[in-house]
Amino acid sequence: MSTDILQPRSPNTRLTELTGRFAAISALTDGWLDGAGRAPNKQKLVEVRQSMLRHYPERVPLPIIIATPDGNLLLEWDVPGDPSLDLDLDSMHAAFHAFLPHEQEIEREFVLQDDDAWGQLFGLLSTVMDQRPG
Amino acid sequence: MNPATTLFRQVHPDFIRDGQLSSQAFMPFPKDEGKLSVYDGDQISASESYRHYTESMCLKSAGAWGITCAEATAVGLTSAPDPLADFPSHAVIDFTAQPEKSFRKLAKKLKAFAIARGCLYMPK
Repeated sequence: MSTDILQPRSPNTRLTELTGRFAAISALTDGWLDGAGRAPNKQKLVEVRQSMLRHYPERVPLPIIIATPDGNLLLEWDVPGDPSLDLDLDSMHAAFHAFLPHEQEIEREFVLQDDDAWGQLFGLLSTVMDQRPG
Repeated sequence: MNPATTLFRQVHPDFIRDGQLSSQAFMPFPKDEGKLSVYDGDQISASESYRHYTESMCLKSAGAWGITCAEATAVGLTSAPDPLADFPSHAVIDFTAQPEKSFRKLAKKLKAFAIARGCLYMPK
């Protein structure tokens, strides 16, 4: 059995992975969704990537990053509780949701326009992962 | 359609990243006004639905995933046949009775059912 998956990924590996995930989104053009689908703003993608790289908690797995049809972003983490973040790139308004134990849920909204807000978001994400259901 | 009927959802390739299915695949498109388009599994198989979607409608799909009518009901959604002239097996999962703010978590619940069942048809 390979031990690779048991080892924490180095910061450089994570940087490369995150950059690759943003590059895939950045490659989308208008009409990407069978003729519909607005391409996300490339400058905004750079800003979000840089903010994530500055603040991303080391022990939290990277999310998948999905473009939404209206040109915004969805981040989803493949961990119990299924946390997600819907991010409006124009306003930087973000809606966080996760399932908690005992059929509870958590929803929080952020305006991710400064380092404090990103820190609060990732602090919440770390806390939610500590409470994750079963 | 009955509670055991499987509804097939075609998933756009950009809604699967790093092999992971996104809940975006189960969010109604803006043009669909709160109704998620699916195929009625009582009328068509998963593989036939994929071919119809990609060959007759010329749309992109990375595969067909399934949710039953009972599962849609369990999360507070309704499902119904919605046959179209050239698409008799068309059906919908209706989100419109729910607040739009709750669409994401509903889509995540549908995704969880679909993942538990596994992809029902994936092109080779």
